[in-house]
Parts: sequence; C-alpha cells; structure tokens
Amino acid sequence: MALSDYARDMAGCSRNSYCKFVPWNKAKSWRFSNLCPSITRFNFHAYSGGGRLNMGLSLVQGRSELTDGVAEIIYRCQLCGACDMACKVFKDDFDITDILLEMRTHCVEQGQFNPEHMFMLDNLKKEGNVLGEPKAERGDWAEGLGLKDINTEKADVLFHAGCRYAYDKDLWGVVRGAVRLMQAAGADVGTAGNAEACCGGRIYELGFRGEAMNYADDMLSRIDASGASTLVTCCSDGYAHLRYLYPRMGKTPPVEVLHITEFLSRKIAEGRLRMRNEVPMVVTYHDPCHLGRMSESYRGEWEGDKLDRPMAMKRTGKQGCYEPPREILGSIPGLRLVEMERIREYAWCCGAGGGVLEAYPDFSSWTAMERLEEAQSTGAEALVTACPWCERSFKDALSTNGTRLELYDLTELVLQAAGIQGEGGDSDAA
Amino acid sequence: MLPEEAYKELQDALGPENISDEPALLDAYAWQPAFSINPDVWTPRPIAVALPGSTEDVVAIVRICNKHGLKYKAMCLGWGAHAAPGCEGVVQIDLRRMDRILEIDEKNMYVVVEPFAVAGQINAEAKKLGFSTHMISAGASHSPLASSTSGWGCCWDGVSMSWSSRNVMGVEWVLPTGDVLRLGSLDSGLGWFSGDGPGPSLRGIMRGRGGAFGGLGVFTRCALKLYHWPGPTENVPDGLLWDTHKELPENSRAYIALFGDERALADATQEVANEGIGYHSFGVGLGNFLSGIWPHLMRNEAFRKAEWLRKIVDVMQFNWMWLLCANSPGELEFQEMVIRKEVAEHGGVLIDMEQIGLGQPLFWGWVLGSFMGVATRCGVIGTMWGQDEVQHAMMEERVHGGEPIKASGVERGFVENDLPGSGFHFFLEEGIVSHYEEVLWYDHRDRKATQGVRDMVAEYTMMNIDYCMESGFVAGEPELRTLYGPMEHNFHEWQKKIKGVLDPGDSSDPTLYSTEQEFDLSSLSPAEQARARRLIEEKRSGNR
Ligand code: SF4
Ligand code: SF4
Repeated sequence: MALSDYARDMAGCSRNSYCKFVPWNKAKSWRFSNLCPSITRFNFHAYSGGGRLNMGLSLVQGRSELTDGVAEIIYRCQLCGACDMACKVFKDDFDITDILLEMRTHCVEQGQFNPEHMFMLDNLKKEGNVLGEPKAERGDWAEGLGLKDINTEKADVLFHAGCRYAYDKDLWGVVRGAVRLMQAAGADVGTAGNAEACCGGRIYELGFRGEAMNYADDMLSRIDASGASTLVTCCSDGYAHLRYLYPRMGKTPPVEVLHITEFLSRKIAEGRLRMRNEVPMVVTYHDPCHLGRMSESYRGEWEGDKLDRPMAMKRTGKQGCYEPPREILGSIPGLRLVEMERIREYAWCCGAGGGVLEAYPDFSSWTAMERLEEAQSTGAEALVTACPWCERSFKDALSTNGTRLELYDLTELVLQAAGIQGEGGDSDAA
Repeated sequence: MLPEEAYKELQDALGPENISDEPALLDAYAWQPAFSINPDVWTPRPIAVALPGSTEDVVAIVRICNKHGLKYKAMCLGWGAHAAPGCEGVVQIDLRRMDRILEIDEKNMYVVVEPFAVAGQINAEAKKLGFSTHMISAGASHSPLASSTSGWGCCWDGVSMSWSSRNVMGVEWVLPTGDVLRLGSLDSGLGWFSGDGPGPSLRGIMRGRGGAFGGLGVFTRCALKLYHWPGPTENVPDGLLWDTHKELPENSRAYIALFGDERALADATQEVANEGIGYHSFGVGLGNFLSGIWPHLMRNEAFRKAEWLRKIVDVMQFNWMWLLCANSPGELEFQEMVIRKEVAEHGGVLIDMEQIGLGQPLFWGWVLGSFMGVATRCGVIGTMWGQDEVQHAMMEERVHGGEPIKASGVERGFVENDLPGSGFHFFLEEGIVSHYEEVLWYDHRDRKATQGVRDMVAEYTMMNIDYCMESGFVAGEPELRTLYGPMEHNFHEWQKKIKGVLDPGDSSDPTLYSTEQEFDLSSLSPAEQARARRLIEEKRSGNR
C-alpha cells in the first residue's frame, strides 16, 4: 500500500476531535481527560490523530508538500494507538494507526529521514538491535539461568527477551526473574542467546518496512528452529508486533504468542505458581500501549467501504491484554490496586513509543511525567508496569524530576509474592 | 501568505512554538466536512495558525492582525465549517491552550471557564460537586464558552437547562480592535454572577439570537450557570457506548412514549413540559437511532426494504423520551404520575426503557454527552431545523414539511437511507419553545451527497418560509442571512452596523456575520423556483 491508497480513509475523518480525549463515558476529571500526548503537548490540530489524517490527505492531494516540518509532526507521535481507539468508539470506516504507520513509510520513501531513527536503523543493521549494543553480548542477560539454547536443542517455550531487556542492565532483574518464574512453574524454556535479534517492529514503526520484513523472517526461522509451541516475551512492543504487524506482513508466527503476564496469570490460576508471601503495598498499574490496545490481533484486510466491514474485523483496542496483569495483582496477598483515571484501552502512553524516546527525549519525558502525576494522584506508593520501554521511560523521568514513586515491573512483584528472591534464589513457588 | 513582519511579531508575542504557517499543518484546519453547505469539504486555508495562551496573547494577535490589515477567526473544538475561516487571508486563532476551568462557585452556582474547557471535562468536575451544565446536542466534545457566546446551543436538556444563550453570565471579550470588554457584573468588579449587570449587558449584541460566529472578536472567559444534579458524584459507567452499564441514579428513570399521531404527541408532551417535568425531554427518529447502532446494516438493501421494519419505524415515529432525575421519591412519583396520565389520556403507550435494556446506555449517553459521536458514524451529520413557540405548529412542520424533503433526499441518493420518519425534537426555554431537527447523514466524500445536501438546504429554507418558522440551518451563512434579513426586520443590516462600530477594520472574519450573498435557487425546479420567489416576496412584504 502507498499513502495515496489511504486517501479515501483519510477523507473519512469528520473532524469531531473525539481522538483527543478519553471516551466521554470515562472522563473523571479535567486534569486527566486528555488522551493523545502529541496534541496535548504541541497543540496544533495537525498533531492529533484526526489532524494527521487531514494533513496526510492534503499531501496526497498535492495541496501541500512533505517538508522537514511536516515530517517532524509525523514523527512527534508515539504511535500509541489511543486516537484510533477513541475514534472507533463511533467510527468504523478507517484505522488511524495503519494510516500513521503508512505516513512514516511515506516519509522514508520520500527521503525524509529522522537522523536519530537512521541511527537506530544503522545499529540494527550492524548489531541486530536498535540500541547499538554488541551482538555478541545479546545473550549475556541469561547467564546462569540454565536456559536451553534453541540453536542446538528443542524447547516447548521459546523466550524472546527483546532488545531493551537484553541490554538494559537496570532491567535484567525483570527478565531473569521472568525466566525463573517460568521455570518454577515447570516450563521447558529455551532462548536463542546471541542469535536472538530485534523483532523488527520498532523499525517498522519508523517507516523502514523492508528491513522489518527481514527481521520478521529471522524471527520465524528461530521459532522454527526451537520446535516450540509457545513464544513468551516480557517485551510488550515485541508482543504487539508479533500479534499484529507480523500477520499483517504475511508472517504469522506458527506458535501461540504470550506476554509474560498472560503466561504467569495462567500458571497462577492453574496452581503452578503460588502467591504465598504478602506484598503489603498500594500500587497503581500502567497499561502499556503495546500490551493493551496495540496488541489486538490482526483481523485481515477489508476490501471496499470499511463501513460495511464486519465488526469482527475491526480492531477497537478492547481486546488488548488488560485482565492478566490485573488478575496477577489481584492474586498477590496484601497488595491493593488503585486504578488511575486513564486505564485499559484508554490509557495514557508512557512516552517512549514510535521512536519518540530516541528522537524527541524531551517530549518522551514530558509524556512520562504526565503519567507519573496521574499515578501519584491515586495515592499509590508504587507504579507497576509490564513493558521495558515504559519502565525505562518512567525511570528516566523520575530521575530528572525527583518525584517520589516506587516503580516496579509486575514480574518483580510476582517474584516477591512467590518467594523467589533475587538471583539464584530457590523457588518455593510450586 | 502571512507577511514576514507579521509572522515575526506573532512569533515574538506568542513564542515560536505557538505560531505556524506550514501549509500541511494549515490544511488540517481547512478540512471541515460537517455543518457546511459548501459542497467542497476544504474550507479556505488560513494563512497562519496562532495558539494564544492567555487573554493578553489574544489581544496581541488581534492588534497585530489589525496593524497588518489581516483577518482572524477564533476556534475552540473546531467541529464544523463555522469554526474555520470563511474567506482567504485569515489567521486562525486556535484557543486550545486556553483550556482551564477557573472557578466553580458552588454557592452562586456558576462555573468560570476558558474557551477550550470542554463540556465533558466541565461536567465531570461539576458532577463531583452535585452540579450539571447544559450540554448542547454536539455532546461532550464541545466548548460551552463557544456555544454560549458565539453560536446556537440547544439540545434535549432544554426543558430543564434552557439553551446556551440563557446560560452565559459574566463574559470577558476581546473586541475586534483588541480592547477588552467585560460584560455584566464582572465589569463592576462584583464577580461573574450576572451577564446583564450591574455593568453593560450587551448580550443581544454579543450573540443576539444565534451568535456572531467569530465575526465580532474573541471571547476569552465566561461564566456558565450550574444546575442541580441529583445523581451520584461519581459518574463513570462501564462500557463506552451501547455497552454502557451503570445503574440509573436513585429517583431517576428513562421512559419512551409512543403516540398514534402528531396531535397526540404534541398535546401530551406540551402538557408534561408545562409542569416543568423532565431532566431531558425529546423525541428521536428510530431510523436515526438504528443507523447509529448498525450503519452497515441500514445500508443493506434487503433490510431496508423489509416491510416489517418500515412498519416498526412508522409505529415509532411519534415517540418521546423523558429522562427523569428527581430529588426525592415523592418528586419522582409526581413526575411519573403526570407522564402516565398524559400519555394515557392521549392514547399513548409508555415504556420503561430499563425494561427493554436501553435505559442505561441511553441515560448515561445523554447525561454525559458521550453518545453524540454516533452522529458521525455514516460520514457526517447535517441537520435542517426550525423552531416555533408552539409544539403543535412544530409538529405540523415536521410531518408535512421536513420529513417529505428528507424522504426525497434519500430517494435522490443524497443522504443515507435511515428509514426516514422523524428526526430529533425537543423543547427549549423550559418548554415554551419547540425545536425540531431533521437529521441528514451523508458521506462527505461523495460529491453527489454534498451537492445534494446543499440543494436540500434550499428546499428546507423554502419550507421554513412557507410555515413561518424560525430557521437555523448551519450557521450565519451569507446567502441565508441575505435571504432572511428583509423578512426579519432587516437584522442583517443591523448586524452590518454593529460590525462597523465594533470592528472598523473588518478584521474579525465577517463571513458568518456581515458578508452578504444572493441566495442561489438554481438547484430547484422551475416550478419550485417560482414558488420560492412567491414565498419570499410574500414574506418580505409582510403578507405571510
Ligand atoms: S480521526 Fe476520528 S475522532 Fe479524530 S477527528 Fe477524525 S473522525 Fe473524529
Ligand atoms: S498515536 Fe498516540 S501520540 Fe500519535 S496521534 Fe494517536 S494518540 Fe496521539
């Protein structure tokens, strides 16, 4: 598809601004009723989901040109999917997220590259990850965990660490803990070690679609080699890409794809993991965009007027992964969850997505701070999330701002509740 | 093109991040499919967009525009062509950064807001304190300041909360010259509690009947009336639309009544309104309703032609809904007793909507204003409307005037076939004014549809003249104003005089306030044109 193929869809915007706010049934306050970080931060209508469509239509109709300034507007967006969700409370006949993705591909095709994004692409080409870390160190995080190496042996479960977890040492406790929990629950887990590479989703979002295809092929070959029936990842980004972008590229993974929260909630429900320790804490939970609304599975393409599209083929954001994290939190003794105002499919983004963290760190940080304020307003002592990009974004924002709020990945709380303490600790979970 | 010097001055005044003349960004302001009688969806592209953050910023923009001979047009949420520039060479003032709720005065029951404080936000805050504000039929995504100071502003809560022109109190107004005027008690340093004094009222000049639609400067703050909300302070239901689930508040009910004919409906509903009953009180077309739920199904030829469905729509054509929010069981009992009596006496059938599973989504959808997005489900919505002080006359116009035009528009393929039978209908002014809108749903991407809707406007206009109804239509379109002015005490001439005094530089976009243009009858058949000319002549000469 080319951007011009979306001309009719872009022209479908009725300019009613629903994409800027939480669905109005859910508005609890003035302070936390905005939904789109981009329009909330930059204010010009063109920064909203609808405004982006209007601008895209102007481009394809030749009314205006793709300048540096326009490309900047296009990339100052987390691709968080909130506008798509809010619009689709009412509208059936276009998918904003798909159009925003296409606009980025259009930028790349027109030679409008963002330098930071080019840097990410170069990193990926050289080292197989967008962070530019050495390929030879990708598997270091798993040292001593006794994971199967799927390059040489088969495993029931293939664990995909993802770029951020593989290299961000601050977050290794999460990813190592996740593996320990899986093992404690009796799973036969393998990983690709240094042979693991980026899933390619992030560069797809940056507009480099051809490259993303290569990384999808690479992922599928690893899945094939592993002999696994299930792929588990802690990375919400990767999870969403495997569920949506991969099938959209014609690369449907031949395995069940689970986020770690789904895996753990199942095991807790089955009694394979017992939450035996009290974690006396009041927490609030941040729904990562890519675990929530953006993870909704691919529903196929619809030819013709999308108003006639069956509802089963419409991604609304409602089918994201919202319950498993809450079920886990609900199963932890002594822990109390207090919800923020913007949750589930209408959650506010952490700020990191869509290449914003790399290209516009101030905007990313501003977006994260908005969320931290919302978290604080609940009275919770800790903010819990389930995505390395969210955690990085919040960690960075907290470090610059001095806000007093504990930050946890959900896995860390499960480790405490299950009694799996620190590195190498024995499990009394099962 | 914005002169370089003017751009520089705006940049200095607002900061570089709050002004842009990037063509693609400007085009995002020129895409206006709704509430337009222009068959082209693109409206004139502004020459720049400015984002003021304060009244002082607005003053600076207005002064810079005056200095450089530029026009400007302010907008808030921007849903509809009336928010956009109507002519070339206009600086669009996007008031988005002025979005605060400044004060909620519980004792005197008003809320002070900036332009971009959104209805859904204001209501969320007000309800926490036991109050509601009037919500126009655009729903929660609208600016109450814009509606109150600048254009129309009615809806189904009119029976209890009147309409926007009645709800505005103190106002802060940046005149077209850049001077700041404060209306009502505000000017006397006494606060916001009254729009009519002590201090200058000028409400009639500020917005008159329908509003100046950006032709008389920029409104930067105003106070709005708060009404009592007897429901809970926490009002967040499960679900987003039809899946909405939340118990109705104590002493609240949602009823629909079906009547056999227009007369029975008009008599019964007027009687109930006379008793001051109803939190919301309105009728809505079943076809509109079904289209909001299943737009794709309504396009299905077999379904549309189903006789049984047509019969159901016909049976439900004369319907009326009441959302009741009483303060006590006794008050609720009284309200229900009156409604039951009137419905029974007029041969109607009363249905408790909770019994048929629609009570909760409809109650909360209307009370929270979250429902109106369905209006954009089939493309855009246009409404053709009229208003009368007598509910019976309004019904007459609706049944014999408006509905046949709608049906003919459907027949000609201009608007979606939503099994036309009735549109929406409600009271204003605590029941002493009746208001009816024929709903047109159409795909604005289809030139035949947008052109057709324009033709239908001509037909509805003639209908309103024929029935001696007050006409609203879209906004103050130049051709409609030029047509109606001579019939209505030459109001258009008065507007031009006001404009001349307040805006000597003609800087505030005059399109929807003082520009004139001949009404184009060419889309009508020769016979209709002859009839139209006769009607216009009769009305202008006072013989009608
Ligand atoms: S994208 Fe959707 S919600 Fe946003 S303005 Fe357009 S129609 Fe409305
Ligand atoms: S994807 Fe997110 S940041 Fe981008 S326009 Fe939509 S709501 Fe805004």
